[in-house]
Amino acid sequence: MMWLKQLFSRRPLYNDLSEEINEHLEEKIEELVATGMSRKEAAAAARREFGNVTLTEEDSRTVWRWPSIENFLMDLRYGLRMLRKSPGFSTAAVLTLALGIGANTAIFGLVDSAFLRGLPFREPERLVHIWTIEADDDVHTPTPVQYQAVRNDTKSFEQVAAEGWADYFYSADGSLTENLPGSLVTPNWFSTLGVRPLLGRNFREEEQRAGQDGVVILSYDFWQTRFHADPGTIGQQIVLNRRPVTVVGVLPISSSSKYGAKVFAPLLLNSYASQGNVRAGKMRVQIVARLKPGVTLAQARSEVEVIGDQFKSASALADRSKRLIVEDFGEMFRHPGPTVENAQRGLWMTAVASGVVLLIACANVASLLLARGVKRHREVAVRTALGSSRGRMIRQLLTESTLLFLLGGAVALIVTRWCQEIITKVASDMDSGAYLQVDARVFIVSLAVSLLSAFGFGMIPAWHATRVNLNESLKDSAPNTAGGSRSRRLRNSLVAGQVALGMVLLVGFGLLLRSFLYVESSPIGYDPRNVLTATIRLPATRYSAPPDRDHLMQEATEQVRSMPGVESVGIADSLPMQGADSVRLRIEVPTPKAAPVEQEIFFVSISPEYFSTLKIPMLAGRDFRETDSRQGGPVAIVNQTFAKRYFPGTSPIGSHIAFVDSPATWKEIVGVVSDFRQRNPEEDLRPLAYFPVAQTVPGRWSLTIRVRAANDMGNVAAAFSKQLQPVDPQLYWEMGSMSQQIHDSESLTLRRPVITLLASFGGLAMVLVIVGVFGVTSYSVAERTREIGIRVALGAARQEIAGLVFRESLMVTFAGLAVGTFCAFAMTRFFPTEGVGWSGSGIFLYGVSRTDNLTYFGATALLTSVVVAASWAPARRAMRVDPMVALRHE
Amino acid sequence: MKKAEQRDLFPGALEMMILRTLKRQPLHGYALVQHIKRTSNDLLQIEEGSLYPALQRLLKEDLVKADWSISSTNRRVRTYKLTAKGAKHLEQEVSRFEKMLEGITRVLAPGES
Repeated sequence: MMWLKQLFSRRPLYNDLSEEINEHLEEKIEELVATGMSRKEAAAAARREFGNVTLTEEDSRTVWRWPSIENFLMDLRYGLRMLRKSPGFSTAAVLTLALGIGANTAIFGLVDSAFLRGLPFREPERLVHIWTIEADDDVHTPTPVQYQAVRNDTKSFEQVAAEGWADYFYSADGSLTENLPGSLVTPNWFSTLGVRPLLGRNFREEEQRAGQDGVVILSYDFWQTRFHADPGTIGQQIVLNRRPVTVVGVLPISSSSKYGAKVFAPLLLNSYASQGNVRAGKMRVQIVARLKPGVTLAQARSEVEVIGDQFKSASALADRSKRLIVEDFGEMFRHPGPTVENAQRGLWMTAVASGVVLLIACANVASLLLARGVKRHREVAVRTALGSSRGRMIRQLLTESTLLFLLGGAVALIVTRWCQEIITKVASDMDSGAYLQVDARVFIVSLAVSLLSAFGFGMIPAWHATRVNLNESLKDSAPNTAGGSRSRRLRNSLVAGQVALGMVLLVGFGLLLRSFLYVESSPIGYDPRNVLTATIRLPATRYSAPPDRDHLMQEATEQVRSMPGVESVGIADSLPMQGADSVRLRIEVPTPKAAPVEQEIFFVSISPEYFSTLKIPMLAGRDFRETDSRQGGPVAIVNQTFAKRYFPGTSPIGSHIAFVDSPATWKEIVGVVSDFRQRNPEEDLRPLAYFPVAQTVPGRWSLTIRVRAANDMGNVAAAFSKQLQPVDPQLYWEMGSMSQQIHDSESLTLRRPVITLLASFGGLAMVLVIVGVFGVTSYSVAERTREIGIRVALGAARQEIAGLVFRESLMVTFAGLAVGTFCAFAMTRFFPTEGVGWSGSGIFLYGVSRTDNLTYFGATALLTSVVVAASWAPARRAMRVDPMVALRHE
Repeated sequence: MKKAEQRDLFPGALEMMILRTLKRQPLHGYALVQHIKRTSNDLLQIEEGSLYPALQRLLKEDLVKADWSISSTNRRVRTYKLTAKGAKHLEQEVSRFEKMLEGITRVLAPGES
């Protein structure tokens, strides 16, 4: 308890000490006086001999305390006082840092959620997927029967769960319906994965029985966007697929983002066919199982393999399987497709940009601190003269700047928390797994970023401010000159650094923006204006016979055609920008002796009026006709690229192509159509084949409807939806437009979030550069007031004075621009110039070269004008300097 | 704190001398400096900058105690007195020092191996 007493009784201890030291000095003085010195001389001699009284006292007091902590607390108090004393400076610095740190915190959150964080499931190492290998030697998801066999007959697993896929149609107000991807899951699915709902509950065992399955769990983002994150959503009834269901739960964002589904509903194994979607021609489910503790993957494998044997000759053809295999759960997430790779690209680009913003912000604050450091030269000098060591001074200045950075970090966290939803929304276009949520990890990273930059950038001004020449600094007549020019050089190089970083950021953004605009405006080969689309997916249980499908197509076309304002109606199974299926084709080459070429070719099934609806010209031969029906002879149309590649120099018309797996049915090529883009606006043109939709009768197709231009296309779409309803009241038509298709194309969807984020970072950077240049220039003008006063007094014109200011900031800017151009040029070497994977989409330079003049010129011009604008006010102030006032300072 | 130790002869030397001096008679700060200076034949000059922190350390450790009193020269002084704990500590320190000194002397002594 001794220390406690000491803690509260320090004051008398210190008083004793001071008095004692005083008496000590007195005694010494008296003794000296006794030797014959005058009192004054004696006092001086005693003090000289004693040394630094304050320091001795301080050192003695230190004995009683925890010096490091107490010094720190003292510095902290002092720092807070200093910040309060200059609110303008503090606010500017804190906001600047908040922007820089906030940008990085947000991007870290996205990168973390998308790539760094482990799977959001309990003990994911114990989870496995079970697949089937079928006659085609491909890995597929198993069938419900196979699922039941694994579930009932294995002992290796704690739980075995299944997930199926379904389409849901949701309409908030009863008019246009929204198509939602859904998951049908066995009630144990969530507990197998170890996912607890954020709100509400998991499904119950009895809810997988017909009649009791009117319950749904919503994904986090669906709940956010459609129900405004209202906790009261739980227990509410919503209408899905024209059936009222009760919302019983909402999933947390982490597990929602790993699955694309917006709605989760109970899977009814025996009526799955009427509930779910067909995949690869069959009703299939994804099996997830959790290994019992201690059971190895190999043990589970051998057990499942035995069960698989019974399906080698299963009675139902659908359930036939060569083998069932067990695979580590993480495998699926470890091998991301091109989409994820693209998203990674995009996120890295934005991460670099956010780093640049942070550096600019830090440079800003460092130069502000430098300027203050010069102002505080006297203070530092006085404290040094009083015996404070340089380390101690640096520690105090660092505490002050760290305080600023931490405050900046705190504000950043608050702002990030505010923008959490919007950033998640922007980024989820790029990667559905990326989301932003301010949690412990994000908090720690922002703290680390704040502290690291505080030490990095707080050290420069602290080091600088404590380099004092006592003799110079304490002289009253030269308040600012000591270290002034050195500090100015340093400040100017910080500004130049900011300009250089700004240049790098702007060039990167500019190149990507130009690419985006090129992609958006690249010739797509068809006319998307005023074309509405209505897409339908036929249920597996109905419309299985080709004549029924044919009939539905005809009737829907007739219904739409009868509407006023409709110019033409076409049908395609894949719309432009949706991509296409591919098939191995045998192509009859013109030289009679050569064997036919076999090639994987993309193909689209279309109706006769499709090309004319999209205003795509035929180049040779004829379009499809109504007579190219199921009864008519098999025909095909190829695009120009196809014709050029496989029939160079000749016409393909009259030649034949056939599917490799039904080689007897030769289809005659009757026409060549002009090329247009089928997947992405910027894709390379590929050979494409077209077949009459009446001859292929696909299970999913879209009407393309060219209408007369209307102001409100939404209304027109709603009218079509209403008109199509009676064709079959149980079907859903998903309304859209051709322009929307382009907007939603993979490459624009991928590029847009990167552009948006980079644009906001670029904007931030410009604001920071303005603040930085303004601050430094203002300071430099204030510093040179006397010089300017003398110049004016000696007859310098006002313009010359303004020129003086502008010249300095422009010199600095040009230096920065030169360095920046060089760095930007080096950076562009890392820019991708082509897409990822077979889809060819991605974030890469398109239509612009790395050295695009316009981009570099634009960035230079923008930065120069930003600097000029920021120097404007200080220059005006310099022009108004009154020599009388300026010189009176003396 | 660190600085005070650096000015010291070796860690603990100043404290030891203070305790030894106080064992003979209670003294106040100024007198302590004078006494040590005198007894060491001016060989050791105690700096006030080290003395006061050292005294505070001893106070904190309860090795000495201090009281305000009136000195022979009719001056209000703070006199330091050795405590029982201080006396014990001094004994230990002195014997440790003597051992150390003996060791050093042997190493430095010429001619012996």
